[in-house]
Amino acid sequence: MTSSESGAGDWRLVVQRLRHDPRSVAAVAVLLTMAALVLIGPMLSPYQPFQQLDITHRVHAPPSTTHLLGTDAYSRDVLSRVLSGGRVSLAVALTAVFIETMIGVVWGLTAGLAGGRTDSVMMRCVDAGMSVPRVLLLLALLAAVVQVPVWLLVLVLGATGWFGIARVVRAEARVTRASDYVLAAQALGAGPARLALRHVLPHVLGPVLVWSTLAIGQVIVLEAGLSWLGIGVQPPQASWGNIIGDGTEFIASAPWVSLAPGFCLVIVVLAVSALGDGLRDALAPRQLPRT
Amino acid sequence: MLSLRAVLLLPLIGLAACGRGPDAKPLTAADSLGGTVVISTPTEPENLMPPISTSVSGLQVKDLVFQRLAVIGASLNTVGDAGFTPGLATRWDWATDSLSIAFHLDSSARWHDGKPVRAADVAFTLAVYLDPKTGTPAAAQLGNVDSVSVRDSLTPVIWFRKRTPSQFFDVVMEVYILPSHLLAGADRSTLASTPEATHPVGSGPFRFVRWVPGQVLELAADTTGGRRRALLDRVVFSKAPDPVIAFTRVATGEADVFEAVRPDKVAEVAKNTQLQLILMPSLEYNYLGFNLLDRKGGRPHPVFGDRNVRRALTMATDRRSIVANIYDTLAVQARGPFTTAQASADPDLQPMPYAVDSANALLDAAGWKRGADSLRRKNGKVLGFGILVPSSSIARMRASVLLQEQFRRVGADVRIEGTDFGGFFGRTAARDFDAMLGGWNQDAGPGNARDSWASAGAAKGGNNYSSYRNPAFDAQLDSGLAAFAPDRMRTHFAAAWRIITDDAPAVWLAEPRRVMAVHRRIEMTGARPDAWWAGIVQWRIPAEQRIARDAPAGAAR
Amino acid sequence: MRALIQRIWQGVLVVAIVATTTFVLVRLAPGDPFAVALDNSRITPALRAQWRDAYGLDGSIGTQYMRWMSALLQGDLGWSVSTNRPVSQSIAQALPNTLVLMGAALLCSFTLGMGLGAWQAARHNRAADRVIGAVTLFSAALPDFWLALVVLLTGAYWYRVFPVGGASDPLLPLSASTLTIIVDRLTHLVLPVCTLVLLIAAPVARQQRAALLDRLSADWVRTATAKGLGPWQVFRRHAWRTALGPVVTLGGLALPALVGGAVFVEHVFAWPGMGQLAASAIAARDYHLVVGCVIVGAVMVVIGSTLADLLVNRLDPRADTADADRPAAGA
Repeated sequence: MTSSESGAGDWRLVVQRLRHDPRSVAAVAVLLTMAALVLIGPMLSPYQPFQQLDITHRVHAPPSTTHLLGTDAYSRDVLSRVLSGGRVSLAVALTAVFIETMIGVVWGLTAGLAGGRTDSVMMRCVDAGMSVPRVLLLLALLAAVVQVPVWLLVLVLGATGWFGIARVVRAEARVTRASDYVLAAQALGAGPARLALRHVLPHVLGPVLVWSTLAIGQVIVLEAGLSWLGIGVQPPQASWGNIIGDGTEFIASAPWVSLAPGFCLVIVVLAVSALGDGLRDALAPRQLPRT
Repeated sequence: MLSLRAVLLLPLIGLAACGRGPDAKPLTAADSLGGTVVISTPTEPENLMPPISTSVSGLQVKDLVFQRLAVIGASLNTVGDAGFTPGLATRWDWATDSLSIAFHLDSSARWHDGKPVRAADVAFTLAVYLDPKTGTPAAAQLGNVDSVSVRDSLTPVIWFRKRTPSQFFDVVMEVYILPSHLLAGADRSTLASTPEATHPVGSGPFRFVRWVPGQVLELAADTTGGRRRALLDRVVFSKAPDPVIAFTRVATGEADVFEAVRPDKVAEVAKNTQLQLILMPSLEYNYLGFNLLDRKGGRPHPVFGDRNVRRALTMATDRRSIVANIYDTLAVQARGPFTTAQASADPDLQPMPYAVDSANALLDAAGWKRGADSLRRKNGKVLGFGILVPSSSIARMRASVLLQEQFRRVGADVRIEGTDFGGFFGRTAARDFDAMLGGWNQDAGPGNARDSWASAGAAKGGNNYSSYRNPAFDAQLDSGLAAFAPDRMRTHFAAAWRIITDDAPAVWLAEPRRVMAVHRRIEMTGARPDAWWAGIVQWRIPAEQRIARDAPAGAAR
Repeated sequence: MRALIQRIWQGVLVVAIVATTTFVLVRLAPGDPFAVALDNSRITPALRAQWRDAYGLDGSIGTQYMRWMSALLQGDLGWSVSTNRPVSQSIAQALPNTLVLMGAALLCSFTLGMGLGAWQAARHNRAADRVIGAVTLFSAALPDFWLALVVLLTGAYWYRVFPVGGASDPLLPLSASTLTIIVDRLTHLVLPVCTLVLLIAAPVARQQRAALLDRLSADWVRTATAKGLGPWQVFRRHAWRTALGPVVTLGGLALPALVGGAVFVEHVFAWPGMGQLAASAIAARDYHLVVGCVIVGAVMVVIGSTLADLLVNRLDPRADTADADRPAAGA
């Protein structure tokens, strides 16, 4: 067995490891900067993100001192839109991942601790969800809706992403269920909720955290793809995905429209992935043989 | 005896002949034959059975594989038979009372399987089109046809119920003649599932070769009975689901024709030495349609039920700038439910001006007062509505975003409801929208406006999605459709257009021109506004300009 | 044996859940298969009702479900209105294209990814490891639709080396030699496979590296090292079998993609595969085709994942099926 330590008291150790990992520190710095930009930026910008300044003459203006990232096809300032769109993209991703984590953890705990028939049926549902490509599921769900408001987008994204984490949590729950001290706790009269909270959850928290961090990156890209297709966030509200979508056909004549949000997208996903890696290493460092 | 002139000219001719090179041959008719044209398109037909194939791509294939009795002329005249050119029929005779027309079929016409085309085929075809079980959209157009009789094996006679200006156009342009010997036994209610729906047999200048759905549809010049009408060897439709990819194929030289070049790609096409840019009028217009009834149906719409509000919203829009932003110079501002190329158009009609102050004044007078947040309210409700748009149409999405901002400036709160195509159709048919960005692709005749804007179409079964009803408009429209003299027709239509534009059931936006990118080596002729492909049978690729794909196809299939 | 039968039964259940859910979902959407002719003002809703009737799409959702279910049990997947052919024919045409594309992509990605991951693990924390680590991190962060577009534009438009999408040249005569056909197919395959490899190889490499490092840190491996074996020998003798486990599981997770196709990539490259077919069927509200695609996909995924589970058990007898889902500590 590797020396894995996870328990409430060890969190300080985890944080300490994170602080000493340059990769994680950089990632957190990038994410905090981006968060600050999208929260404060729109308030400082002289332009509104939906403001069409001059649809005949200021269309596709290249970056300049008046428009740091140029203008788009509707003569809107790209920088304002990227910052305002960042709010939406990040908020959608964070909320959707929160939802899918909640659903997945609860589902997995219930299935794993219940065992037997319940477990079997619940896991078949998970299998069913995993056997359909997520994009197709999203397309089908969004096509069924008359108009897609942002909250529904978040809900639908959350509802289609919990299968993987449910499996992980359920596996952990199953193992714990069979362990000696849990049997002892049960003998002492502990109910399933208590078992879940005190015995299974601490073991699962680490992997769940890592998984959630990585899922944020996945969902950002997914929302961008849907908005790029035109069925995600609706105009005039910007999101990084629909700004890229607006700019795709002009990629040769006005590349700044697509490149700016694309760059932000990649940076955030990079940072999130690096943070996920760092968390994983911090939670359970390996002792490797000296070479 | 050689004349003096010939003697003097001979040496020049000789020099010229030498100058062309040792292997130069005089141009013969055979040099005109050959070549392959690849049309790159993001759409494809749903089936190839003429009565029930309704898409534009289906129309293109139908026109090449099948024949109609006659074909409309370039002037798009639909009154009587002026300008029509022979198709399957070489000539036709009108009865003195105009209640019947006898068509004389081309005796050398053959089906692609070799059988001759007979009058019985024409009679059979009309029976299929008129049979309600077939369920053809053309049925409305063919309401005036009473029956078909056969005078002899090459002379079908079509009988009409009454004399109308467009009786010839209606029957001739709608009906593609079908082979009775192949379809006589088919169940007419499910014609789309017959083998002929995916492997059609017609009598047109091109015969069907193969169709790999989603990828390629290939046609080859028909040579049945030794008779060849097309100069090209093959026409191939190559599909790419994304229009950007479909265009790129033409830009790289992988394909030859792209029929809908976006305005921002025009400069690129102009710079490309391998391509020619073709601009022509089209029969398409788009508009923002208001729903005059509320979404539950029945009661007048809280916002659009008021004529003055509709007029105000129209005046709040700078249509010229919107058209310029989306299309640059490649569209004209639409002025009403018609296109400039149609005979029923009114060139003098003035659209409502762009006048924000008048708009604001009208809205104030109608009871919509501005609040602190600059949005207008009446009885506590905000002046707000949704614009339904198909998100796959770039132009319409652009228009909706531009309109949304202009409406915001006069105090209206507008949401954009983008859906996929299926959803867009479903909701417009069910009248479940406030405003919608629609478009109509008309055919040459003036009758389309009746389907889309007359009272008859306002009920839930019809295509008048706005539920616009005005008996005066209906009367003028019907008088125009019944008029035989062109100037009387134009007067009535002009009156009708004035009525409807004053009532403002829609904001008329743009009449996009057709912008095509065609490979330089192709001599493209015979295009009509309603069908750029109309002259494909005469398109030719000169021998010296042919490239790899023009080489004759491999061994016989 | 009993376990196998149980797995099969569970698989059937999964497919049934998937099919029924999809059936209901698609019918909830407004619009219907006959939405094609929106621009044609002569198609009346009465006409559409007539068409709907002719194709068995009338009646309540319950009636339609019964009708569909009974046909399905007889092996009939129904008629696809948007492609005008039986559903089975549409799928039979699209499925091989997807299998070829995704098969080639997964093979290349996994080979590349596993190789990279193993190489990184062997040179843990040295320069090569860090650089490759950064590259895979970056590659895994790229949005797929964006990457596909960039690859297509670079390889077919700005530099005209490869064809612009599609699976084959439409003008290739039927009489062309087999070699010509194969070469043609390969040239069309290059760009989409490159895109997919860039997208898939990175996570595989990262996963492989993590799994290997985890196994290498196990106590029993330390013992072997203490006995004097170098890291590469340790890897060869002990670690690779157990390290293969998580990768096979990852492959199992890639099964839906193998069968379902990558929707965005197929869209950009005009690749006529299952992803494209299903996406356009959803847009066209072609109910039977959507459900058909999903069923076929689900069946193949269930078969594949059962095989993957069996393989994992053979490779690493220590691993319980449930344990295969557990993150090994440190992975």
